[in-house]
Amino acid sequence: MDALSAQEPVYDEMVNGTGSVRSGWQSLIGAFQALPEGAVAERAERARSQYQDVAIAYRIDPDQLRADGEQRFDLLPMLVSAQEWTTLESGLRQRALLFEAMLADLYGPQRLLREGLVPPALVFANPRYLRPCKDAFPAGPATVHAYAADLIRLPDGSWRVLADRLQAPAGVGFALQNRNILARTAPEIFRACPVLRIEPFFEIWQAALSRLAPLQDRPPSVAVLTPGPFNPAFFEHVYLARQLGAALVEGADLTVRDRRLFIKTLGSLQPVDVVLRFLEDDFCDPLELRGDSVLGVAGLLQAIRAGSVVVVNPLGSNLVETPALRPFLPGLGDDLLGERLTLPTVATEWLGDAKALARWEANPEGAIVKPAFSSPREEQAFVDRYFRQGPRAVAAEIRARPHAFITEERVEPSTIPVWTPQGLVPRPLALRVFLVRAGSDFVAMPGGFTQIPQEVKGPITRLSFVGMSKDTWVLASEREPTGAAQAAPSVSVAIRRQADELRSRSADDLFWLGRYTERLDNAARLLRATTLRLAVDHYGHGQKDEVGHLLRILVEGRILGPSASEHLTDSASLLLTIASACAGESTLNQVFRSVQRISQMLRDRLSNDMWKVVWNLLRDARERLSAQHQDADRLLAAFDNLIGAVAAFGGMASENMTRGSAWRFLDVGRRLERAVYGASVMKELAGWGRDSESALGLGLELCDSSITYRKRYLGALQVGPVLDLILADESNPRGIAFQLRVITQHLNALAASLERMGERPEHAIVEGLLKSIRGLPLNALEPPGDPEARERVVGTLAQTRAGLLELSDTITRAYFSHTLVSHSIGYEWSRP
Amino acid sequence: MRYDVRHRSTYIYAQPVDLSHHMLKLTPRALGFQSVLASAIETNPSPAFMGAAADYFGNGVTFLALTEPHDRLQVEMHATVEVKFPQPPPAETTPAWNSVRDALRTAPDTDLLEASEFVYESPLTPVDAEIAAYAAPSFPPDRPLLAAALDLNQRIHRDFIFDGNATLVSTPLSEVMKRRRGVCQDFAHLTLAAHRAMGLAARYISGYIRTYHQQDGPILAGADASHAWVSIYCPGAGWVDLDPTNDLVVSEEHIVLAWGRDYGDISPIRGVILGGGEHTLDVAVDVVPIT
Repeated sequence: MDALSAQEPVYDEMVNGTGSVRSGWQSLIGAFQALPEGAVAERAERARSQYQDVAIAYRIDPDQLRADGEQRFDLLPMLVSAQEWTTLESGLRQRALLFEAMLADLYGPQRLLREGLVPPALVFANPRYLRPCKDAFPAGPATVHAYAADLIRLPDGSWRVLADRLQAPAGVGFALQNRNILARTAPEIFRACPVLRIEPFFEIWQAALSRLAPLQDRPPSVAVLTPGPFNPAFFEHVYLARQLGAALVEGADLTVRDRRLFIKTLGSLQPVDVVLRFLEDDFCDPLELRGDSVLGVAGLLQAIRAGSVVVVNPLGSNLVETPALRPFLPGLGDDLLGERLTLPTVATEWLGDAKALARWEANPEGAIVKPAFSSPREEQAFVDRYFRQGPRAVAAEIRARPHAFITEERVEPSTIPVWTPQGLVPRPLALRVFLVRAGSDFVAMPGGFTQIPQEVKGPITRLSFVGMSKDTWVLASEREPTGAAQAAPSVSVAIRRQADELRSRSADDLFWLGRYTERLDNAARLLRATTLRLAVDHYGHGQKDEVGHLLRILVEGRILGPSASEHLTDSASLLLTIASACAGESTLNQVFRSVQRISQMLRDRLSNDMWKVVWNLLRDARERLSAQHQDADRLLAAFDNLIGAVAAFGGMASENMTRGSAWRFLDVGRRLERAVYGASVMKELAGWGRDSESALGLGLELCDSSITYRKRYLGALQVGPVLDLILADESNPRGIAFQLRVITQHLNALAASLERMGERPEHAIVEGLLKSIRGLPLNALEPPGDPEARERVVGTLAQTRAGLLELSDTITRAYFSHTLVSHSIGYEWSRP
Repeated sequence: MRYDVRHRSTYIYAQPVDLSHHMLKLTPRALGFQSVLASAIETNPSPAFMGAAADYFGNGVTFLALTEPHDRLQVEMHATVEVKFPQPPPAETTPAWNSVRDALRTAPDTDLLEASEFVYESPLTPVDAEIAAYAAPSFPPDRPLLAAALDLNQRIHRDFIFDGNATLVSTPLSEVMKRRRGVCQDFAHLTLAAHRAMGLAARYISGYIRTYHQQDGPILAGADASHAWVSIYCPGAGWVDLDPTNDLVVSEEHIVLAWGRDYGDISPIRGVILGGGEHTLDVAVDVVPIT
């Protein structure tokens, strides 16, 4: 390798072999030099912070983002000259058409196999060949919708294709984002160069997607299918869906009914005509493809076969990405297109060919070995192993199944300057270019995603999105318009907004966001009351009795483990128990994590301000709690802080959310959780015979009703009035009856707006609960008190708690049943 | 022989299932040597959608969707089938196994191309050096293909113990090879992996075997349940069915449901359900000769 690179120096994009700047670059460099002193550093910083803002607004894990503080965007763009672009674009169009023709045959008559143009092993032994897709593969001519290629430039200046991408090529959204960031931070440099705009490409793309709809009698419904927020490219799926005017959906938002694809919303099922998928082939339909996929839609292949929906690229397209097919591409170009391929692939040999195997065995160090069929992830794992252990270690594996391996020539990619505070530094680059089919031919986005891989160990084998990227400029030839808008496609697309259609999954998430945030508040109140009693000078009988009750409530709510009550007599170790329940793998932290996860799912449902409350205030509250304070004062402050954060969230919800279904589901969740809490607390305390005044005081404290009671009754605590205030008074916003009444109102409004007719078991449950609370014999509890009446109250509260949990299940089944996670069931072989 | 076949599968779910999609491969194949005189699938509860199709390998497929909550699902297939497998040619007259291997490698004609689909490893029959070494003694150079296959069939029957508790559907084949125990499905996969290690074409057959009652005749393993065996490609004779579990050449006591590269291609019932929790499955199969 070293000998080779010594012979022929690496190509540099900006500077030629004699050290002078290449044409096209002079004006760009001039524009940078014209910036005032220090401006480049300042612009670079602005670009970095804009990049972060965009990423924070869309990405799933801000913690991860904070971790990688490295620079992800370079100010200096990559330049491609007009002439060079014309050559690249036509070479890529030709490849796209070739892959389309190959797919049509390999998922069709398979003439290529019978005539020996493609060895059968490359299809039949290839896990990318998805048999269930054969009769679902669309009949031509135009079947491939999007194609991307990763390119590198060799020392002699010629381009090579490093990889072809037909399924879910990532990067096009990042490319658009890079262009926007650069245009905002360094607008001057655009004036210096004739740069082609990339926005028109998205208009062409949007129109092309609409035209795919099976029926053209109404504005088509187009969906972008994403694997979800845990996918590293989720950000660009959000970005692209907006750019293309499409609905962003996950598999769980979709359902197939009678061979037709729908988006599940609360009120109805909305048909989908076209799906642009960012999900790999075999994850798309767990019924016929990978059964363990929870990202796809059961029945999707049936809908595709029925012709009721068009999914692009067609399922199974991944087959032609197979690296082992590369040596056969020139022959296939001659046969299928009657043309010579103008843009070559990195030289590749298939080891299933005996001669190629012999060549590799004679010189195992001469080329890189890679798996012929496996996914990019497995491929990277193999390449890493190969570089760690050397060719000899994998030789046995290769000889056992040579048809499953390829060799690839070693190549030295070109370099491009990257701006650093110390000056310009050359780094290797790979360029991903995107094409979509618009009518009879493919159109390339005039630009691309230029990737500067992180520290390269061994050769670049594929593009990754770790590392730095650059905007990519295609320079206009003199005739082409640049700054002004180019001719937009003539088809105008009606914008469809479904803002009122709350997705069932979002409704479910909102309900649980309400429950979990309220649960945090309740836990904080219980722990605060306990800690307060431990913090007094003398931890005596009175406190111990109260703490005993609190511990039982906390254990029932699983906030403390069952062993907590063993520490009842030792205030110091009890304090430790409480501190550790606030940190690590505790229930409380699980609730925090659930809130975090759900709010990520709801990112596009919550306003920025609400989202910041959930993220920042609750994250701070969690961090303060989990600091493992040993002293009661700081723990108490942390509990107060958490209660405040939840209150801020509740306030935001009631001030900022429109009174639609989304708000109602969030509020039902909060009310339901608060009622469960009230029932748990009072069930424990109402059963207390001795020193009822202390128990009643604790009940008022936990249910935040002390002030109301004092104002209303002025005097000493009495059982009847206290229980009435907490349980039955429908005007006390912390009381149980109040929650039930509000829940009833919400359910009525939801049922009306969603036209939920007929049997409504959830309403029957709430009414039953209200009735039994209203019928409690609270007056019979006054001293000396009727023990039977007391038992009845305790029993009713236990039933209320159980009834509320049943209500939660019933609401789930009534409104979000189809949001449950689906799973595959195989057929446990009846084993004879 | 003419048979009356009933195959009933009952799923019982711990919690209601709100929506389910199923794919059934439960319709006996119509073949030159197997006439399907009648066949029907009934489900309880009845489905919101039911559609018939053929899969990639030409097996009958039934798609079901249930959209109302249900806590059990019963699927019953009932068929009347007449079957008589062709007699294979005398083993010694079949071509040398290594010449068949070479022909499959280049696959010059349509028949061989179709057969070559079954030469390669599949998800449940990966390449395994130990299985290849086990198979080798049955395949000395130039031995007639069917003679070699019968020898392997006999060795598997002799060397492996039928044990319904030794393996699960998910047990990898290498484990079956090490422990030398398993059921019909394992022995079928093992035979497939052995043939494919030699570069030969073999496919997985899912079906049933005649139910005998003790007093009527020999007990065949695999009765009262689904059964599995293999079919090997023998140029000139076509596909020859061998049952390694019972060490026999299939003649008229087996009924073919479906075939594929391995069990994964022809799982009789596959489903995706929403809800349901834990489930149990009860299976009953009856294969009764009609006289």
